[in-house]
Amino acid sequence: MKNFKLFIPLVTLLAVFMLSFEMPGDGNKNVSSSAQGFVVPDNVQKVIDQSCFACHNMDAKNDKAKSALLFDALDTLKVAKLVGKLADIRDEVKDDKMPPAKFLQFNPEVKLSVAQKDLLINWADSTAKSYIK
Amino acid sequence: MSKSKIVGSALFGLFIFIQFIPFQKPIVKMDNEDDLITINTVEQSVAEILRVSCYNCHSNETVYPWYGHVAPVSWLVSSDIRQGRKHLNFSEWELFNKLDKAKLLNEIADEVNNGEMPMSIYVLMHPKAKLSKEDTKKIANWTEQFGGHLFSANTENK
Repeated sequence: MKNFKLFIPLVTLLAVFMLSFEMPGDGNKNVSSSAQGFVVPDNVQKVIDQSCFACHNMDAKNDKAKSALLFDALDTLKVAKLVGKLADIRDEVKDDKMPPAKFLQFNPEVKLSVAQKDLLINWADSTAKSYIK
Repeated sequence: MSKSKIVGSALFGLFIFIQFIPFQKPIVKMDNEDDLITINTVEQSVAEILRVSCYNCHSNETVYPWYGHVAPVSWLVSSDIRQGRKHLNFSEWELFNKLDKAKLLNEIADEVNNGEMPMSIYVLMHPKAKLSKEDTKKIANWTEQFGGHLFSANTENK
């Protein structure tokens, strides 16, 4: 073919051009029932990192804490499960059950301020509610 | 009378006496308009498991066994039922908001998966209530599926 030399680069260019468009369904998180795209706002993540993450992450040693809640696995959960966990976070912080008093005895610097409590509670509550059908 | 006869009579007397100590037994109510199974479509085999393995402590539809009326066992039975209903009462399911339902569904799955529920002492007296591996899986799967109807991963309404 006379134009064969142009053919491959043209096709490649066309492919790249087409892929640069957002395909329908990319913005729709309802593809499966897991909460894909679940993202924690930076200011909330900061509080979590300071006062919660040490026990509630996959590499932690505290088995009880891990079986109850893993912050680094929240985005892998099915929506209903995630909502339940968010409601748990809201209630545990609200009732001053978390961080545990015993833990705070030796780590007083991670005690949640009133502002931090409110931030976590409001975030957990509103995020959970956003999934209600 | 011999010593053992005196002690025996005293114990028997005590046993009779404690039957008359008044205490509030958790009420039984069979017709509950907010009941989980009444209001929702719950698959037959799952509903059956819930009724047989859970409902005696976790609903108003308690069926007291004969020993549930005899002190001091009746005190323990009543306490368990009271605690059970406090944590989760299927007869009042529809009164919970969606977030609390999500919490409860998670807890149900966790408690049957880790073997904490039904309580082993209950299963001892009610062998039919024992959850097989299939039963446990069925319940866990049902909590996921049922929860899925309440929530949507689509959060465009944020």
